[in-house]
Amino acid sequence: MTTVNNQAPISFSPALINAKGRHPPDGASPLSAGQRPRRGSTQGWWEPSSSILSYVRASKARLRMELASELAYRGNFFLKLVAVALLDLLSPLVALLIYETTSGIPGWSFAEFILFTGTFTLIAGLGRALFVGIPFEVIDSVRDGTFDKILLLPYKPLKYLSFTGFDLNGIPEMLVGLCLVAWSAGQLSIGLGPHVAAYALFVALGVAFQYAVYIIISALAFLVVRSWALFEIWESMQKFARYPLNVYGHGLQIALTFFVPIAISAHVPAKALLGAFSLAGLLSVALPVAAFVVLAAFLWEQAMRKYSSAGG
Amino acid sequence: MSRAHAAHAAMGIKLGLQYKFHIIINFLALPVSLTVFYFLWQSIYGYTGEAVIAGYALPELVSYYVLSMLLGLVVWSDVDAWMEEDVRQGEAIAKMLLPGTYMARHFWTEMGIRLLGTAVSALPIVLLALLAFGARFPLHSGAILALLSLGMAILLYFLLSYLIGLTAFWLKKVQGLRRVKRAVILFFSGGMIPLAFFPAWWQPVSKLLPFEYIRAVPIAIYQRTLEAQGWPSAWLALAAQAAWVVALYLAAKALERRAFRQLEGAGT
Repeated sequence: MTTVNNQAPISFSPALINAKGRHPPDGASPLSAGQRPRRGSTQGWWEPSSSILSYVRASKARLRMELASELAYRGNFFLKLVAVALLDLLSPLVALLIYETTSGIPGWSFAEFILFTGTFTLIAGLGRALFVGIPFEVIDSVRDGTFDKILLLPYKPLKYLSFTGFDLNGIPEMLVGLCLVAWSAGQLSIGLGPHVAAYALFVALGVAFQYAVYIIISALAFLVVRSWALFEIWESMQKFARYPLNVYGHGLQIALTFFVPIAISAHVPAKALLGAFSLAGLLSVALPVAAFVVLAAFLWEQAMRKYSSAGG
Repeated sequence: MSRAHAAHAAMGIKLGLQYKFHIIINFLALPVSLTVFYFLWQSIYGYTGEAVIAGYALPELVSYYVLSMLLGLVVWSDVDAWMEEDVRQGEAIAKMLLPGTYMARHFWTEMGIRLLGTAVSALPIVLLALLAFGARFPLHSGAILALLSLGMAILLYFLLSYLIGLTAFWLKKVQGLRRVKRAVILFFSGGMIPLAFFPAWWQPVSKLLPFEYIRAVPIAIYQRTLEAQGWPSAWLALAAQAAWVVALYLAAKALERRAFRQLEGAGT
């Protein structure tokens, strides 16, 4: 703790952490010459800052680093974005082939199925763009023994990871999803109304579910050494969400709605935009999602309690 | 296969054992893909009200998808990723100095890795398909030609990946190109849906491209659906496949010479 002229301890501003994550050298005052310490501030530099702006600043710094790293190989970066968009367009292409040669999926016209596919891609893209970096960062740093560097930052670890867990590859996925939803909404003459608000709410719930799953996977990284397996299993479970629930048997439909609410990833929001939503329907989906979020928070807390640094 | 090549294949098996967790994940994840596929097409067939669609009854379509997944395991090649790592880590020159050609060494190492992964991952898929989804895998004389076609499919995928990997000698990072390659091959080889579902105008175009020969042709030879795909005989399809193998091999060798010529190493 450093004091100047017996005033309150100097607050260590996270903004002083530059883009490369370097702290000022030991012993150096974080204030430049002539600056006065913040009056009334009692927060020491080692205490996690709770200002949301500080997390936003950290997020921006991380984004700058990611962009600099990716743009070092500019051609490769843009090709990766193109490849992600191409892969996401394969499902609608396959759907087109199916609808050209068969009656299609029961209960869904071609435009409705494209709306469904677009919704899945949009939610998956949002989840990837905003949060997929969390399990990547945690699993790698726990395996390499470098998770301490996150604990030593003046941020709450989960909050910091949540603000910096983005992946730029999620952006083309999100955009492809939006384009598919917009196209199908035009084809189906879907105008503004309460169903659009319901859709947005269900999309937010879908993203919240993805966030909860990523936190659960990250928390289990502290307990299970090879937790990449859990990530891969989650990715394969997502395949159930790629098609409407009504193609599956009754038992699977219940399991995918109430026990592992993967149905929130596309089926429920798409149905809402098509006008099929109710308060009961909202609750039947929101409650399992909320349960997953609570479980994620609980597991993370347990993981932090159990974590012990290797030192060094 | 020489002793050096056998040694590389053995090394590939040992490398594959390091990734045994990935193999176990495939063991669990691939049946999920098959289950989703079955439920989807069962509902489509029921809704359409026809027993045969685009020349496939449901059990045959399930068999096609299982064969497609198995082929995907066997023909898959990561040689482009290995080569990118060689260039970026500065190990390319050291590897060129080892016995055997650079291409052959990578090929046989990959064969070792594939052998292990396929042997473990194939069993649950085949069992699930046979017991739960009514798939059929009859043994007949066409299976021998299908195996020959499979061998060439492995070479085709390897050569396409090798060509992508060679671009790393100039571009250094080729992750984007690899993903584009993966998407294009997956779709146009019939990996997501049989080529019989593609429009009629696409069928002759597809025969001029190498992708159909990676999955669709070996499976069609085995399932005896070549005629429905516009091939008068299996031998003609095999000849076209072999022509693509030769063409891609020559292209890979020509590009390899240019890549090696412009490579500079620091050395120690």
